Amino acid sequence: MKELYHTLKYALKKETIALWRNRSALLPLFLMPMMFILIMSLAQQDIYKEYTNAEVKYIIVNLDKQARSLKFVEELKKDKNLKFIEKSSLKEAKRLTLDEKYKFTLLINSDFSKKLYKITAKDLIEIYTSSITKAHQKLYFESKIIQKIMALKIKKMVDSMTMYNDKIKASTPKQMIHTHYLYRLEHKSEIPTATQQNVPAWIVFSMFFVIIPIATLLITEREDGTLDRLRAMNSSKFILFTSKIIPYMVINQLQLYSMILVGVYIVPLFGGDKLDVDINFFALFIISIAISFGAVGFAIFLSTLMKSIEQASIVGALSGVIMGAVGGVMIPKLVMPPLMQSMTVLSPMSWGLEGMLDVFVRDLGVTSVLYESSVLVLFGIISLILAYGKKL
Amino acid sequence: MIKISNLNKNYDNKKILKDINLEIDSGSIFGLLGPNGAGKTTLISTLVGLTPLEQGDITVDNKNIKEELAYIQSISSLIPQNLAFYPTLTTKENLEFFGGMLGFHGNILKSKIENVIDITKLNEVYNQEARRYSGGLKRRLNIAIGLLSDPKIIYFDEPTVGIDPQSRNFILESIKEMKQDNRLIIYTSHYMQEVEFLCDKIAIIDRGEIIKKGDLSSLLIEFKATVKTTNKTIEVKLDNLAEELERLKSDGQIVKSINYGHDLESYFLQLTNRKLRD
Repeated sequence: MKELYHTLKYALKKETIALWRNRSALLPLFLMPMMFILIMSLAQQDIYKEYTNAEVKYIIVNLDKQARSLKFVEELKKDKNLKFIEKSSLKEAKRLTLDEKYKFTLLINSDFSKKLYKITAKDLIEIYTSSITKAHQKLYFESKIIQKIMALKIKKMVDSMTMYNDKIKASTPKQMIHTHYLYRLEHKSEIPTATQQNVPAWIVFSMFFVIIPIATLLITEREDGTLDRLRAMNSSKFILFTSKIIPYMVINQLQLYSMILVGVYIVPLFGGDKLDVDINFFALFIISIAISFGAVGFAIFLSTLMKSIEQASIVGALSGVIMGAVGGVMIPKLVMPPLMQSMTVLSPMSWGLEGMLDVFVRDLGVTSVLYESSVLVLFGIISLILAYGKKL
Repeated sequence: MIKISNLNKNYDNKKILKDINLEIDSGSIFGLLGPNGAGKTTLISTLVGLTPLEQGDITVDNKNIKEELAYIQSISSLIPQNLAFYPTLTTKENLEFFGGMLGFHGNILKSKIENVIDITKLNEVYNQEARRYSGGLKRRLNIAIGLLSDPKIIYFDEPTVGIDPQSRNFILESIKEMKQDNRLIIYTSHYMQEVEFLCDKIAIIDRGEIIKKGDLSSLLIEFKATVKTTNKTIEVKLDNLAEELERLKSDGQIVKSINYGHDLESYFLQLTNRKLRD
C-alpha cells in the first residue's frame, strides 16, 4: 500500500508538471465554453423570458370598418404587448409581413360586425405570417386575438344579462386564469434565465471535452514508446489510469468554477442575466465529480481505440459534439420531438445535464443528483474496464 | 542467461519469427543484426514481455517467461530506439518519475538517480527541460532511464541514431563498461562498425529467421579471403581458395598477400542480399 502511494505520488507529480508546462494547450478547454456561455446566454435571453412579455408588431387591415370591428380594434389597442399599425392594402401588409418588418397581418373580414355575436360566427379574422414564425409565437398571437373576440362576446352576453345592474363588471378571460411557476425554494419567483440554463449545459459540454487532450496525451505516449517502456517496467495500469484521472478531474473542477464566474460576473457586463448561485454546492460537487469521472474514463477508453493523434482529435471532437447534440446541450431537450427526447438517455452528457439542471435550475439537493451521478460513475467504470482489457 | 527455443510468432497470417533458437550468456555484448522488418524488435519485445509468447519457450535467468514475467522484467531494461521520456520534464523530473514507477522512493531513488547521472554525465542539464537538449543529450537521458533499475540484462535498440560522433563515442564506451558486473547487453544497430567495436557474439536475423549466429571474430573469417596479386585484388570464397590460388599460379600471377575475413558490413550484405529493404 505504501509502495502504491509512492508510485502514485510520482506519477501524479509527473502529470501535474507536464500539464502545467503545456498549459497553453488547455486554454481551449476554458475559452471555448466561456465563449459559448457568453454568446448563448445573450442570444437566448428572450427565448427563456416569458413570451407574454414580448412585444409583437403586426398590421391590421380592417375591411369591415363598422362599429363592432372598430371596437375590436380599440380593444386590441389596449394590449400593451401588441403593437399594430393599420393598412388599407392587404397586399402591402402581406409584403411587409413577408419581409419580417411585422410579425403578423390581421385581416378583419368585411362581415365581421355582422357575424360577431352570432353563435355560428365563422371566418371573422384571417392571420398571415411568415413561414419561419415559431409555433409558440403563432399560438401566442392567435390566443390573444381569440381572447379579445371572446371578451367582446362575453361582454355582450353579460351586458344583456345584467342590464339592470350596472355595478357588476364582467371578468375578462385573462382574469379567469393565472399561471404560477413552482420552485423548491420559496424565495424564488422568477423564470430561469438563459444564463441559468446555458451555464450548466456548457459546463457539461466542456467537461467532456477533456477527451481530446487525454486521448492525445495517451497516444503521444504510445507513439514515442513511453507506454511500452512503462509496460516493460511492469508498471500497473491502475497507476497509469489514476495518474491521468485525478489531474483531469481537477481541471474539470477548475472549468466548472470558471464557468460559474463567467455566469456571475462576465455575462451581466454584456447585458445578460446574472447566474443565480443560490444553489446546493455539495450537490454540484457530487454531480460534477461524476461527470468528470465519466468523461475521463471515456477518454481513456477512446484513446485505446484510436491509432493516431489526428484520429483522436477528430473523433474526440466529433463524439463531444454528437453527445452534446443528442444529450440536449445544444438543443434543449424540451423542444425535441418525443423520439429524440427518449434518445437523450444514450448520451452521458444528458445525464450530466439533468444533474446540473437539478442543481442550477430546479434547486434540488444531493439526493436528487445521486441517480444521475451513479449512472455517470457506472459509465466511467465500464469505460475503464474496457480500456483495461486493451493494449494502451 | 537467455535461452530461446523454437520461438515462432505470427501476425496477420504472416510468420514474423520462425523457429528461433538462441542461447546468450551473461557478461557479454550480443549483437542482433538484421535489415528493417527482419524481426529484431519483435524478438526483443517478446523477451521483455511486451509481445506475448505464442509458440516456443523462453527462459531468462533460469526463469520461464510465461511463469515469471514480473521477475524477468525486474532484471531487464529496454532502452528503445524512440526517445521514450517526457520532453517537457527535466532530467531530474523524468528520472524521478521513471524511478518512482519502478518502485523506488526517498534516499534509494536519490542514489539511483545520482548513479545514472554519473554514468551518463547529464549533470549540466539536470534541471533543464529535455525538449531543449541536443540529440546526444536526449539519447543519454533515454539510456539513463534504462539504467535506473541497475538491470542484469539491457536491451539497446539502435541507441546512437541521429547523434554526433562525440556523443556516439561516449555512448559506445559507456556500453562497453556496462558489460562488467556480469551483465548481458543485447545490442541492435544498423551501424556495423559499432557492432564490430562492441559485440562478442552476434546473430543475424532476416525474414524472421536467424541465418547466422556465433562468435563475431570467427564469423568474420569463415566466409571469404581477399587475395592480392601483383596487378589485382580479388575476393575468394574459402571453399574455392585452393583452386583459385592454383589458377592464379598457372596464369603467372604472383600472390602478394591473403587476408582472411572481411568487414561486418559486407558480410551482412552478403548474407541478407543487397536488395533494398523497407
